[in-house]
Amino acid sequence: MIERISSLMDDYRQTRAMLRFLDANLWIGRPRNPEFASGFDIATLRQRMERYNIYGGLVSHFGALAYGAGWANEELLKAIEGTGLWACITLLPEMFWHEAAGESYLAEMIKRGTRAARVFPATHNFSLRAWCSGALLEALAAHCIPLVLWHTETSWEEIRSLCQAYPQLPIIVEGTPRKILYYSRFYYPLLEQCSNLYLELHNLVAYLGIEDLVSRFGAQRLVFGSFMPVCDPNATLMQVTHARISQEDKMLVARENLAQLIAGVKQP
Amino acid sequence: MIVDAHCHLGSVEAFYVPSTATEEMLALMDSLGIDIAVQMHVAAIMECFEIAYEASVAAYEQSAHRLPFALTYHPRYPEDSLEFIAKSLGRPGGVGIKIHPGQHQTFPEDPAYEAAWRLADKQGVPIITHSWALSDYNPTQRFATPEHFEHYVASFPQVNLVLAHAGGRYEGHLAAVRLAQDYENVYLDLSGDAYSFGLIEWLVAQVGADRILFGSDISWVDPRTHLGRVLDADITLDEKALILGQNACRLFHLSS
Repeated sequence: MIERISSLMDDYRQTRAMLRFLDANLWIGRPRNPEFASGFDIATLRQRMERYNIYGGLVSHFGALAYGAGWANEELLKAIEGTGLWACITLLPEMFWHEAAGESYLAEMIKRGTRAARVFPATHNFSLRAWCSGALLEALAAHCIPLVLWHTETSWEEIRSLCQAYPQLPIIVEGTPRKILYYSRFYYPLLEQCSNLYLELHNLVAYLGIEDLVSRFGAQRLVFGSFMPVCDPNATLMQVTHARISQEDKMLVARENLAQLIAGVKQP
Repeated sequence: MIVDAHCHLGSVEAFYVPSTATEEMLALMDSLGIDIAVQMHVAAIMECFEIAYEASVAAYEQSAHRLPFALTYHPRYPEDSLEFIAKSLGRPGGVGIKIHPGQHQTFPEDPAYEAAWRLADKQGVPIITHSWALSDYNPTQRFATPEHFEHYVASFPQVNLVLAHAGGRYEGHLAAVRLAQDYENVYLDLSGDAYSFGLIEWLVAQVGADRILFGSDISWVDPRTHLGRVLDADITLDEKALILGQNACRLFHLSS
């Protein structure tokens, strides 16, 4: 038994290292409920990334969700400076009420390492419709900056409207804080209809889900994310390392899809 | 043997599931090195006791005994459900009794459950129960918070109870551990979607690895999400061996 477990462990860890994961869902700052985790600074995050063979990715800041987006964005950019990591900042509609100021803010953020943006329309009380968030969304679309959304912060109808209204805007949906598998009857048709929709994996834990999604929509639509340090990254990592899909598809899911989205951001 | 202590066969209607086929489940188990999976057929949770019995027996045979099973006791259909549970425990493959207080909206201390505990005691099999924390989006979880199980756990110290999902969410984990610390007949399984960073290491430190079970929740949740966590956890190899199979073999009287 011990030998067998050792062998499974070695196989898992070697495959994990080989895939050189990029992570779309890394966080610093204190989460509302730390549960069993501790250490929420960038140095600890980087140590953990090394421990789990995660070679890079997008970092977000919990302070943007609970306290202040502008402050947290600044803290985030300072924290990632010189690390090789990219920032996933949080935006609010009022940052774009004065369109030129919004554009200028976004340009500055991109120059300093931003490659994705989050919005929390439920928590921050706003609509994603054009009358409320149009300038923000137009600015993101103009720079092809991926927009990251928790499914619990909006509705699938809203996600569909967004995908259709901004076809050049990559939209990554995450299953935070509830697993996304219960909504498979929403996201399957949406993946079929909206080529700019991506699903992040950390809570996409459906039985045989990766194989089924890849066979129907291609591996290009899935983006690896761990939600570390809130979640154990192994929950997502082994879904990819031991997915019954081609090696090429594993590479896409593990790193290439995110790498392409990051590379696709238009510099100001 | 590596044992997944918490799986399901049967139709799932609440959302789209890629496959519920026995062959698919066995193929995935093969690819991951999982030898045995204890399955609790969905039909018995959903009041279709006959279907669950027949399908479970068929799957056990079809799988060359790799899918032992636990049928569900239903507190609102005690006689109907017990009839098939008793049949299952009288034949190879029947290894336990499942209860689901959340789904059946009956608190675990309700007298309606006594018949299940008595049968488990008589047959020397464990009870596996859904357990969770209070939830703001699923009010039925209030029926399955760990502290509600204390009455029967204390009354039947010789019956082992598996708190599936180890309490489900943070507050539930705390309550599940408290119950396991107070009663040696309480086990915790890792199935479901509780992926908190450090959870496995914390459970092992609090309860000991000899009462924690690897489980997945197939056909809801993919077993790779749990196997990777146990394989890579910061615990000893001996502790991983207990969690991945030795505990389940002892608890369910499984042998190769």
